[in-house]
Amino acid sequence: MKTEFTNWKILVIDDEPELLDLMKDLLEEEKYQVFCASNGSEGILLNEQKNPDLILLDLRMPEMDGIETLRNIRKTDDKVLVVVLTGYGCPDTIRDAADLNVSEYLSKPFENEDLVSIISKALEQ
Amino acid sequence: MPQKKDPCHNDCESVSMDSAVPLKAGSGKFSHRMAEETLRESEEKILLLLNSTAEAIYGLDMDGNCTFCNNTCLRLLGYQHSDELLGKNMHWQVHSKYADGTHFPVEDCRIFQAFQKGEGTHVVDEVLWRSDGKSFPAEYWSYPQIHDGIVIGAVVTFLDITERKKAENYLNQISVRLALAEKAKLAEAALQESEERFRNLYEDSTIGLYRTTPDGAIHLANSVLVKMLGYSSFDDLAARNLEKNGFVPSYPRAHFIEIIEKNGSVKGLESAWERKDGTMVFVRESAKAFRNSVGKTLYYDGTVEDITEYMEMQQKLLSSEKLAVMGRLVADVAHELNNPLAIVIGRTQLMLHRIDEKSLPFKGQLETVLKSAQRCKTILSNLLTYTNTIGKKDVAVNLPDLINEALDAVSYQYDMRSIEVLLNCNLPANAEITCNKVALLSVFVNLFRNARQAMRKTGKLTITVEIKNESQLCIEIQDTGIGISEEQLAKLFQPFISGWKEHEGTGLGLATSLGIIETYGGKMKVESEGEGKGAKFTVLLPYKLKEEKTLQTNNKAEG
Repeated sequence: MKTEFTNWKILVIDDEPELLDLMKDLLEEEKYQVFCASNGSEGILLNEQKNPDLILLDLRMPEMDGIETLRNIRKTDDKVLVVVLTGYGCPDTIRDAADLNVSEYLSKPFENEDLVSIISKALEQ
Repeated sequence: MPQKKDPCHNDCESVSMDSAVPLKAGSGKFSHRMAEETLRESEEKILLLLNSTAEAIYGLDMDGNCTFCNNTCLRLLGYQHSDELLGKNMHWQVHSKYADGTHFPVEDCRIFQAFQKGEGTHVVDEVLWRSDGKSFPAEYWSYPQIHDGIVIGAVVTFLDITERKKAENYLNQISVRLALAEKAKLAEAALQESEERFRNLYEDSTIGLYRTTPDGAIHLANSVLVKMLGYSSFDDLAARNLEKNGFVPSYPRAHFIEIIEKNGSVKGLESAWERKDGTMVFVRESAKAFRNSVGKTLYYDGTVEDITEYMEMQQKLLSSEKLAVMGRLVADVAHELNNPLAIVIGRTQLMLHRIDEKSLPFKGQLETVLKSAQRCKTILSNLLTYTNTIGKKDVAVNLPDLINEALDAVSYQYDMRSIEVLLNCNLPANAEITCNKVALLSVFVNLFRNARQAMRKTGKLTITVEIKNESQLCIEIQDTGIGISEEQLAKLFQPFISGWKEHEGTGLGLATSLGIIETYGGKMKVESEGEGKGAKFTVLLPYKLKEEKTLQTNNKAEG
């Protein structure tokens, strides 16, 4: 168990507040610094402001969905790592994201340990 | 008869044929006796001539009275002696009536008209009357006698043309009969041709044609209809009485009768009829009622189209549309459930993670909650994978490619680097399966994922694909994993029973996989020698050889 916060910064973008809270809790357990955004525009803003190392991005959001949000972020930031959260059975959306440099896909509902291991794996690269 | 030299058209006076009336003697050099002798000789010669000819000849004076007549004339008219005719008005004697017995006025007589004008005439269409009151058809010529420029009388020559007329009539009859026979032959040929055209139309029609009566008898039915209803011949079908059977309760004949009696016809009526073997055929029917002069319906003439295939397609379309709508609905609902479920699972796991001595009593309950939530996750995942397959058409699938695609999909989610994968594909290049590609793919993904999970860290996955017999091919998936106990084997294909621990079973359940395989006429079975001894899944699928299809197409083109 880590005792100090790591230097890693993670931005979580999801429109479901309780899920956002859960992921924040989980990741803070792992001593990551976590920022939360509940929609695409907020996420784009926070990415610019906080400059995170990794974004945990939900695809299914009202107004600006995950793909559009990512497209916008990628316009100015091609460095940040992205892990995409999908619902089961969404092969088409994964195809759409193919050219947006996504590191990993995680399907909802996920196992906590899967989330943690995927993020640590992505950051280690 | 050509114009004859008129024996009397000279300077003589009318001559009596049996020399009863003396002639005016010419004056001059001869002695009276010599002249008389010469005259008598001439008379005799002329008489001989006149009486030897076959034509009947008589002479008329200006009043129309007979001045002489020859033997043939007497004979033809039925008289014995010229005294019977001499001095009589010939028109009244032999020419007073028409052939039908009606009165023939002398003014209308052409002989009379002619010699009034000083002309001759030739008639072939009248009759002359004999002494016994009978008539005969005659042909006559009349010639005016002119002396010093004045008409003094006429000579009439005639023939009995009875025989000729008979022959003419007979010839006429024959030619009329011949003409009729010709016409009849032509008419019959035309009729035959028309019958044949009709029969061709009738029998080769693409739809059924019939004639039935209100009381249910079948008078006519073409071969299309006979076949449509599954009978071997018309007589076979005609044994049926429509008032008794052939119709089903939901489409009674009474309905048809009602419409056709009211409107005189029925157009595009859709109903179901019973075939000989009791199965149903859906039909679209149009018919007209044929009525007699008092309005009583004699029979119904109708056409029938078999729309069974069309109806089935409509049903399919409807259900596939319904299915597609439902599928979308289900997918939407499932997606909605993802978030709340993620929250439940995540929070419960987190709580379990943070259990300490104080909250230890709650561990058990939390675990129960987690287990239930994860079962929901599995159900949801199966559902979403299934909805993905809805609405996709069946296509020809290349099996080796599909298997590789499934392996790729699994390796995307699970690390396959420590697994030895062996794919033995012994299929002819033209072996083809037609199915919903997404569905079949998910089956293999499921099976490979199961195999991978069973092998924990490392192992060997052997996939063998080969022809089993002329209709089925076989896919064997053998793993070296944890195996399946006899107890579990029995329950393996039951829906919603996962053989895996908690969160390990995801994606399509085996029950759904089995369902998909069976939809395509295939079979699936599992074998395992027990725990720790790996497992072997065998999938059988029907297949076709592409070659056969090409052959069929060629035959069609040639035939």
